[in-house]
Amino acid sequence: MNDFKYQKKPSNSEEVLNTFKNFDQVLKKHQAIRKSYARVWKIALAASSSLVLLLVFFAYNQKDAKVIENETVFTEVNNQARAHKNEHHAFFAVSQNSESEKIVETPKKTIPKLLKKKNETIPKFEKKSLKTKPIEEKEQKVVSPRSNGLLTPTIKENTTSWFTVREANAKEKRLPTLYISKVELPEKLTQTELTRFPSINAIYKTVAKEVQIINGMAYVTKRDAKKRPKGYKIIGNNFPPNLIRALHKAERNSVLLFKDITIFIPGNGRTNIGDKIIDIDFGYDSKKIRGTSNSDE
Amino acid sequence: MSKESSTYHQTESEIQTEEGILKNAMENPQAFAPIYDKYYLSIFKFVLQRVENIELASEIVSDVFAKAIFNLKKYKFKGTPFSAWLYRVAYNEIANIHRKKKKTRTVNIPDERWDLFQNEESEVEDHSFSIKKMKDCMQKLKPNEIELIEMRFFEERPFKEIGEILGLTTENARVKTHRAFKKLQKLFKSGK
Repeated sequence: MNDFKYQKKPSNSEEVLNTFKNFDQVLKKHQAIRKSYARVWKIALAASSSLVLLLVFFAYNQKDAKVIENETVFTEVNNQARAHKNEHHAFFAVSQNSESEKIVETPKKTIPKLLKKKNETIPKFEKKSLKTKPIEEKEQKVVSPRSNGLLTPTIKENTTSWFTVREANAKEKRLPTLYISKVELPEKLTQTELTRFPSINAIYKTVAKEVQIINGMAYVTKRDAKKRPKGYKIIGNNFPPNLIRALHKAERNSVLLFKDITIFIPGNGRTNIGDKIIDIDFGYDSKKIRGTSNSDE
Repeated sequence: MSKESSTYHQTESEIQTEEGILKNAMENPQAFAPIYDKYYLSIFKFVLQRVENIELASEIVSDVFAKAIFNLKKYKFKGTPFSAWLYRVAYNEIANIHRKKKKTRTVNIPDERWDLFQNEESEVEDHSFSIKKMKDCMQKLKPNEIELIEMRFFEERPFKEIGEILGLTTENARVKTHRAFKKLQKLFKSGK
């Protein structure tokens, strides 16, 4: 079935049909079609180019926010690594009191100090060793007591706070370098950095190899806190969501304390690489913004 | 449309000349004027056959030529007259207009064609009765069957041209037209 309309053909002479003949009208219509197509093309081109720009912009932003993974870590932290060139990093934990704070410095600063003390017993050691010998060997002689090749951490008792801090010994210093929020062995990190890049990685810089973090606890606390706060278990490279939430809520003078970070070293097995304490920098007066007083602390 | 007025049958030199004009028209739309003059009437008749009134037909015809100029770069010369491609543009344009303006497709049947099967009838029937019967029978055909019958029997087009307009091979156009005609004939006889 069809719904066509059937009718008798009206007889139209060619003269009648020719009265409608108008080539100029055809050309006008052609121009109109061409213009409308050109307009559509322009719009489509503008839309697609802006879309591409937006995609590039978002892709670039996403790249920034990505958690450090495998090889990308090494390119990103390259600049920071340069500052610590020729050093073998290990984890130095920091205690709250002023006495231990002197000890707690970056390896770069610690070693010369220690060498200075022993300058009399090993007169040429400092000059020579800095150029030729690896640092861990120097430290073996100077700093840590070792027995039977086992890990014998130096435990510093902290009488004022709830936590005790264990420094890494020479053997531990051969361990991979710790990156927190993409920063190599940070002493201080902004709250934004910690929450934007909530990651912890252990990496052998020289061989560009990352090792797995299998255990550890994180605390958001204060240096003079007497009471143990709620801890957050670290498994893997990312901070747990509760820790990120705690970092967001952290008050002024808070620190981020990692306790007993355990990594899995192939051949060695589970290895406790010690603790790490990081000052949280708020970059603004959090008291004013949060409306809290110092008395609360 | 009579066979004499058909623009389909052309000599080789005519087709070659036409190709030259089209090449010029691709660069300059003004050069399309000879083609417009040549095919205006045949396209107008083709369109008028399928629409209700002459005003709508004239509007469609100018649209057809405008679109033909715009899409001239897409035209590939295959050694056949340009009219076949032009008819195809017109055919699509008519379908567009019917769809957009929600107008009913019209089939204009020439006077002498209302009694298409009259010769086969032994008894001479009343003309008005045969018109009504013809309408009823055609109503029962599919749109593409009507197209074929319209082109072949009302416009008297060659199968090759029908095939080119509808995108069929010549043989396929011939077979399909034959089947449509047989169907109409059967309907006409059974409705007696």
